[in-house]
Amino acid sequence: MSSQNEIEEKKKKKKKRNNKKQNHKQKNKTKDVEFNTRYEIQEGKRDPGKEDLDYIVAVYTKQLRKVLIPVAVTMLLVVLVIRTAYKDKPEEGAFNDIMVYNESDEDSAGFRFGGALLNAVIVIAVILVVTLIMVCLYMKGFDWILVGWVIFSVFIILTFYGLLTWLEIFQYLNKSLDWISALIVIINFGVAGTITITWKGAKIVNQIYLIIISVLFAAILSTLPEYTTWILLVLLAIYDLVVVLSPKGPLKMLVETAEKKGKPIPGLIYSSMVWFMSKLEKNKTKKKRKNEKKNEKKKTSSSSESNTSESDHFLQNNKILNSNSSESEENLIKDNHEIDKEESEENEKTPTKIKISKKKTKKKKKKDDNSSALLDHSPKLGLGDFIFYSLLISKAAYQDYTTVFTCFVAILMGLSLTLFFLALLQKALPALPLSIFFGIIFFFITSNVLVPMNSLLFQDHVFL
Amino acid sequence: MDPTIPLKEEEKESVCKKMWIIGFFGLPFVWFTMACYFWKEKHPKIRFYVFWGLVGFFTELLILVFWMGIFVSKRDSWGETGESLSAVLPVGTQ
Repeated sequence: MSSQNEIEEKKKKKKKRNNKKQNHKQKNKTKDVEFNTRYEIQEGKRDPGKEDLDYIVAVYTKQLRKVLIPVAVTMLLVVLVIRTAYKDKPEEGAFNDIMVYNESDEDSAGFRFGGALLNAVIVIAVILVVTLIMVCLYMKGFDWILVGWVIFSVFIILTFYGLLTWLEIFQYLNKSLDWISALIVIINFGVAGTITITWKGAKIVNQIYLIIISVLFAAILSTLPEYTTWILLVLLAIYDLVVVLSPKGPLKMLVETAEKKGKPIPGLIYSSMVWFMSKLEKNKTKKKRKNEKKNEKKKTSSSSESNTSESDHFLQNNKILNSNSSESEENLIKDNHEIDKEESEENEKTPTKIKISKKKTKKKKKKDDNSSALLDHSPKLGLGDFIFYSLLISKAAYQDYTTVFTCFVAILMGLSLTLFFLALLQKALPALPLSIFFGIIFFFITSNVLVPMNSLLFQDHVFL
Repeated sequence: MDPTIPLKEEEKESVCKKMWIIGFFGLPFVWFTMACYFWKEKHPKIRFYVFWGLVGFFTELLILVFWMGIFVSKRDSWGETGESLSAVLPVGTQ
């Protein structure tokens, strides 16, 4: 009987919520309902029975759009850039100086495979090493190094790679450009981007800049040799899976340190940033009350992320980890530049090949910070996810449009599945593996089966 | 990192002022992003910054477009200087 009442209550609340949910900007009282239910589920007061699952899944599917659209936009932009500017360039092998094994068509397939595997394993090893270094730095209290690194590398990507891409596109479009205006524009662009991403900025501008960074980085990475890219993607997916879902490791240490300090880990995340105001809940456990007191002391600090409650310990971890994910790439870009410029680098000695580091990467998570007045309800996606999805698409873009289309669908499919699991399991999940596995399967099937079939049919004027 | 948190009221003016000052270093686009961020504020000083920031941005944009127009059309006739200034050389021109 009581369960029926609960169901009725929930339905009423659901209707209320659905009615008011259109205006995100209003201070919604119904957000309390969401928090109540989520909070109670987390605290184990209520088993996530069927009604709750439906409820949660409904909430997440509404937010699916907010995550899918940026990913789709990023991928489309990458395809655009590559199909116009990069496609006809001969494969310069920009990474050949750095890779251990240089792929060439003369070697047999098995040899290439082995060499590419070696390359990819070295990259992953470097990622691991850099991850550990960053964890150590963060734990010893040198997080200003990490912050400075992020700022520097964001600036370098936006200006340097932005300039390169811009010149490529203009070369393709056959337009003239002078150095004065080029420098003025690109420095403006770079500084404004750095300020928006690492300091304060409007939400939309922030998102646009993050998308642009992903596009630039993916376009650069797409010049990796073929076999290496594919093996690297597979290994990264496995690495991601292992790192995120394993119960031990530097993950926990990092998160605990972050909690103690009360400061977020510096990094780049894409957050759909849907903000809701809500009253603080009435029913709180002792844990939460304790945290509130902590929060009041910390009120002078401007970040709401410092108000971490222990009840969202788990989710907060994820957010921090999430934010960690893409920052590492940035670090590596700097090294990449160093390697490019100082060609006298002894690349044989240290395995400092392309550092495309990704730390505890690509986690999607939903931050549910119940104890702060402002709650960020959006699923968050690490920038590394964007970049590696775009890398896969760029490989497809070098072929033809059919492959692009199927891989696009595959990646979005994987992403929605991952979001669905996120809704079900309510914990941090790696966003990379599912999408990449689908993408790779679809890519190889399409390029080997679908495209020849289509060209044969087209020759005989049979249009499907 | 930081931008995921909305600003509190007290901080808005100081942030706006800092962006205003940064814009004076030949960076009008920073004024534009400042305007995007603080567009809906009603505080008079912020409105002052936003307004004059936008004025500055559009002026400099005009100057830049003007210069680019001159460069694109007169590049050929400048000979040496034109070529040394070009970042991108279009193919197929005289």
